[in-house]
Amino acid sequence: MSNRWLYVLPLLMLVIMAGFFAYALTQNRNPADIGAPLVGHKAPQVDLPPLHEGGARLATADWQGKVTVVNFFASWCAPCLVEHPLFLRMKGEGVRLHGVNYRNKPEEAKAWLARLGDPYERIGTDQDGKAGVEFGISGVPETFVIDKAGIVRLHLRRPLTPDDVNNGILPLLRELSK
Amino acid sequence: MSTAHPFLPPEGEGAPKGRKGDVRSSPVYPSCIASVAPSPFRRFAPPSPSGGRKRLALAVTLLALAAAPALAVDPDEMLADRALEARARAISAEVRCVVCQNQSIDDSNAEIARDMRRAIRERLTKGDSDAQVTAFLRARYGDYVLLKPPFDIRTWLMWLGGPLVLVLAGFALWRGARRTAAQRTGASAAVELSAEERARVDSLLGEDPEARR
Repeated sequence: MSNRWLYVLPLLMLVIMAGFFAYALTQNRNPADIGAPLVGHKAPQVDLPPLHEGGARLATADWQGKVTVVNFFASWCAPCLVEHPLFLRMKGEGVRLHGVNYRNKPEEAKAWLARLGDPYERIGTDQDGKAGVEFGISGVPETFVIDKAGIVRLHLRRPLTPDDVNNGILPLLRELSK
Repeated sequence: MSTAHPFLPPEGEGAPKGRKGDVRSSPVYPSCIASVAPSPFRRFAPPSPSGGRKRLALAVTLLALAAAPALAVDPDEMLADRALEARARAISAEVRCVVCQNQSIDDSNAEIARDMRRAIRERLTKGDSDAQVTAFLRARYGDYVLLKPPFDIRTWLMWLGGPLVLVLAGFALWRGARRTAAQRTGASAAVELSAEERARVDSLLGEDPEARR
């Protein structure tokens, strides 16, 4: 009886392994996906110096009471260039938009914004990446939607697409603004 | 190595270039070894007047060998408080770099890894416990940053799978061994002949049972 079980064992192992492989290949999972653990929690406390001379500091108080989009960007980041027109469009639709200039020389960031247009109400500078760690970013661009109570509602670890804006962010902002 | 995230700052952006702590590239290190290596002519040389210097060279070499290889952590990142620094190193060895596959932030040269190391040290300096520091990173980067995944509903099979298979295999082996032992004793019992059988065998073979004894 024991011997008969031994004959089935290789087949059993094959089935188990095939199951694992099928799972890994068919599930559309990305092992490099960090996820968005901040969603549903209070946005981190920051107080960042302004990018523009005479500008206002960007602090936690700036996203209290109104739904806000916070975007981490840098002039050296090509995907930021790609998503930039979408932020100009969102500004045109009346979205409150704050920027965090991440690990960027201020003069380069200013030239970049002068050339492409500046959609941000306030821009805080994060020269040494401290605010980046506070917000749990792994690179730029990353975008957050923060509600009136200061809770993070959306965190995208990639450049925005028109689809993200049309079917994700704008409907979410409308819903949160109610 | 920093590979995965395509949007990392270019070299020299925002932070100082170069790695000050890179002992491996130091030119002092090999020459020290050469100065204490045993010479084949040493026996014929007169007693060296520079014995003290040689001992110094030996001490320096031993020190250099005893030093842990400088990794990604810059000396100017390190905390003056050695106990805190040791805790920071221990924590960062367990924190996974978010832009490199399967490297701890203690090993990674990525800028974000350096930022996270600094955040760990700042929080330790403020008096956070190790668990609080880890919780801070976990709140921002999720379980992804833990090189040792926590034991929960999604990971129990991973943690217990190996031991479980071991226990099952052990049980199967034990049962198999018991069965084999039972078969062997059964077989040896069958070999034993009863007195009548023995008498019959003897008569068939024409042997004298007295002579056999």
